[in-house]
Amino acid sequence: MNDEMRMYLESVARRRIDGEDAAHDFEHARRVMMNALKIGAAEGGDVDVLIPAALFHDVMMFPKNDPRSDDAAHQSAMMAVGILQSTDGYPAAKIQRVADAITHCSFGNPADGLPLDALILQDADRLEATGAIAIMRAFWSAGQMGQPLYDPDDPFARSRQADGLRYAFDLFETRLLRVEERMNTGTGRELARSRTAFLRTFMTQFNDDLLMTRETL
Amino acid sequence: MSITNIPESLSLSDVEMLHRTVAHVRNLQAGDSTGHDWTHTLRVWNLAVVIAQEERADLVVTSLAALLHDVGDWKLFDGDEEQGHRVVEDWLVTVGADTALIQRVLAIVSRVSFMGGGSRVEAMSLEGRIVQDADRLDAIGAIGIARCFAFGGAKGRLIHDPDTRPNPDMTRDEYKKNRSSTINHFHEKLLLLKDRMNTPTGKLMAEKRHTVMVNFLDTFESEWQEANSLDLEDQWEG
Repeated sequence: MNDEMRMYLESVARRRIDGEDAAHDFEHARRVMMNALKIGAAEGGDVDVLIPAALFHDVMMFPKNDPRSDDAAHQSAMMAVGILQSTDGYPAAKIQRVADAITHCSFGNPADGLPLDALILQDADRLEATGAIAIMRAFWSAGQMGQPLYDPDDPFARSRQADGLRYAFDLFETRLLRVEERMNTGTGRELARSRTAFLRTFMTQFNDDLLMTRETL
Repeated sequence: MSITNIPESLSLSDVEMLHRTVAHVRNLQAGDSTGHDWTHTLRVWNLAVVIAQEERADLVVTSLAALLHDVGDWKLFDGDEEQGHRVVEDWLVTVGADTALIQRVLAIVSRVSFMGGGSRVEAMSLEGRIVQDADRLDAIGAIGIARCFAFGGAKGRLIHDPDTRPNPDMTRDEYKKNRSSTINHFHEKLLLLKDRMNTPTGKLMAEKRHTVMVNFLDTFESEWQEANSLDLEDQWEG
């Protein structure tokens, strides 16, 4: 892909992605693209597929507590197909591969039997769910959805099931800490390692800050 | 039902007053998620009691002021400080606080809110300095990071805008109107707090939390840079 086409696709993504949600804004899409290119450079992937797949993987986005959220990956894939079909010079034969990668991108999706580009996109997106950026995204989203930061009666979910949809801090357990082990590629796992270590440090500090503050009514 | 935050040395009527205030504030702040919610008040109260015991301050004044410090926050009344003041005073009258106690608590509550790096710090009672320390402590460290981003999300603020430099020397009015990015908020407010702690106990607690934020910002910046500095030209051959 030449520079001109990438910049064109970036400009479409910038326009199409709703800037209201900082956890899934254009900057997120751009960071995922950079992650995908970095992983792709080491693992071998098709840049023509990775760039639009990363830029448009969250182009249709709803809050996590919105019922339409379940279908967002499929809708984003359809949107990407439409955009690429009307992009002069984009190879038609690769459009379906972009759509497949986006459809399978979401966090809970199994990786079995996926093509390399889809595996790389999954890793690139999951990198955003670990490290300092993931801490920012988790708490930012909680604020946006009006959800509590933690369960004041049991912040570390010791006597209940962790629920990342309810408490931002539970997301560390249900998602952020699991990113590293769920990476598909060796390069992705390597990139995730230091970010996971940072998460653990942060969690210890969070615990320290809450220690003298347990509600004991 | 017992509240371990309420020191055993207090009289029965003081304990009763604190119990009622806890229930009242908890009720008022239950639905808030902008960072000034009940869990914030609870943390500030806990911190304030810990500091007050170290600094040998009045535990009733400290507790009431900590519990009520956000109830009259100007940010909740479209910037109207008078109205916030009245709400707190009404409550203290309701629970039967005497005039002297009401004055001591009100004097604290009306001054605790932070107003920009350049604003003047007025002389405050020991209890006031303690509540302010506790409030500032809860704005920094890991919990401060969490609250800062949650506030940004609730208000739809920009996360990071590397092209806009932070302004740590804002006046009170500039601070009230400020809409800068969440990362800049660390530089314009949160990183300044360590050097503004009033009590030795507060200072000590702030040092550690400050380091946590500095480490977080370093890591955040490097992750952000990493995602923006890759040489795309190298990737084209794929």
